[in-house]
Amino acid sequence: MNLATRNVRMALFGATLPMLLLAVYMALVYAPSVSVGFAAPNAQRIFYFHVAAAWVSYLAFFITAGCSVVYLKTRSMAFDTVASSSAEIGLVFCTTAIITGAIWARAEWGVFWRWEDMKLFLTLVLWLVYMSYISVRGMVAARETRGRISSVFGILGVLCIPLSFSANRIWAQFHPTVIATSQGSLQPAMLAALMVAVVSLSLFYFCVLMIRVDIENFHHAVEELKEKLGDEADE
Amino acid sequence: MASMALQIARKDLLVEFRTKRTLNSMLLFSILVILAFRFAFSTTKLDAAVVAPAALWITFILAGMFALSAGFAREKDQDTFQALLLCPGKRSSIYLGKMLSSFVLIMLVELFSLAAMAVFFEYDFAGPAQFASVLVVMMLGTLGFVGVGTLLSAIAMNTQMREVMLPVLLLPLIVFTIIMPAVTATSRLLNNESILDVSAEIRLLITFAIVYIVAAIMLFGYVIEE
Amino acid sequence: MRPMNDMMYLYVAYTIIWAGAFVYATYLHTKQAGLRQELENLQSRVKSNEPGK
Repeated sequence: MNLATRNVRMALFGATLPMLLLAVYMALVYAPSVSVGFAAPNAQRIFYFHVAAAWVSYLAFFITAGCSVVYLKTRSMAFDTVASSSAEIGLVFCTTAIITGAIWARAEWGVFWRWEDMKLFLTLVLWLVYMSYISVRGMVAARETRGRISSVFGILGVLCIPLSFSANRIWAQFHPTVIATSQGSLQPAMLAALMVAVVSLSLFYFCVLMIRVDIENFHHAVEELKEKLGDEADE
Repeated sequence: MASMALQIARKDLLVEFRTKRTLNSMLLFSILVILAFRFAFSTTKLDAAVVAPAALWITFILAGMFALSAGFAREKDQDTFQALLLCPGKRSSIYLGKMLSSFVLIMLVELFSLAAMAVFFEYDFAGPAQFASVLVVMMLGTLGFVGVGTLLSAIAMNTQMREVMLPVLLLPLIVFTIIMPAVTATSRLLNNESILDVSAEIRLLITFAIVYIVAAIMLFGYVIEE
Repeated sequence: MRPMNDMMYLYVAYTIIWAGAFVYATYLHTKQAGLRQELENLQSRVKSNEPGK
């Protein structure tokens, strides 16, 4: 690894932890308590990381789709590695969003889940799509075939995401509409806390992505060397 | 591209109608599923219009998956896939041809299932307008799910457990985009609402049919490379 | 009573998020370090094989 890459990595890792701590402070202390319209004002603070986790999972899935497109065009394995790593990490963030959402829902509505809520439903569907993406990768042995077909599926999968945002408007809505409407706009302090949460979780995502991609690359290199040593031993 | 697609569709349908193996299995399967739903709800006082739409669409999707996997499995098992790839013209014609033949087969089964539903759930259609509206919704929904299903079936061919992979890949992509609007629309139509009342759902079905078919045309070539 | 219940949900959610993040990051880091070590071992074995050829 050359010096420039190592410096970038160090900078990224170094920036992430302070940002995360700042985000937690802002969510728990800085942001004002919202008593109007919410039954559970304290639990409402879950919102910052719940929404941030959901958005970072969308980011991860878009990156998967983008790398899938580039992979299909260039056939460079690096893009396939990033695509699959991003999908796995996206799944982790999506799981976090669903779990925190369920906890907040329990505090706010009294139930962990509401099937009528389209946004919840869609997030679950997205979770299933990426679970399928990962399982299809496990079902194909040949690297090149695996890259090709999972790229196609990854591209199809990402088509679900834009629908998430309009779903609230199409069907029955229980999910709080986050983006500002004239009645329920976010106060500046809350918006700031949300943005910091999103940025810090995104940084965390990139750190984890780099480590995950390393793992894939090391794994392939190890396999190659084992094969080479196996050949040499046979000679 | 269109003519080659039609040729492939015609060939597939001819082969299928010679033996009618897949079609017969699908017809039998669909009647059994409708009956299963009927029996399952027989002790509850149920309005046909409540259970029927969901039962119908679940039947359509499950039976449809037979047709989708049969389309490519037959080619692969009988080694005719190479010959298909050697045909002149774009790869997407193969996709369109397969999609059309699956669509025709599945529509036949759907019409049959609709009749079965009317009989077993004792449902009377209010008139030709209502029947036509339901038919429109069925065709749009089927177009979407066959559109994406054909591509996914080609993907599943490459994996170790084909039959299991197709539903795993297909269901998450269609459960919200196709099944939900289709069942909602069908339910409302069977409740004697007019087709104009379900325009939102129909728009959604049309959008996704177009999106999936266009995406499939663009991506199909990548899946069946050798 | 309500404020107390509220806070509990907040604690649970934040604990899950941060404990989960920590465990995940640690797991990946350990795996990466292990693979890196294995790679280095294999690389030195390949190097030591070469002069002997």
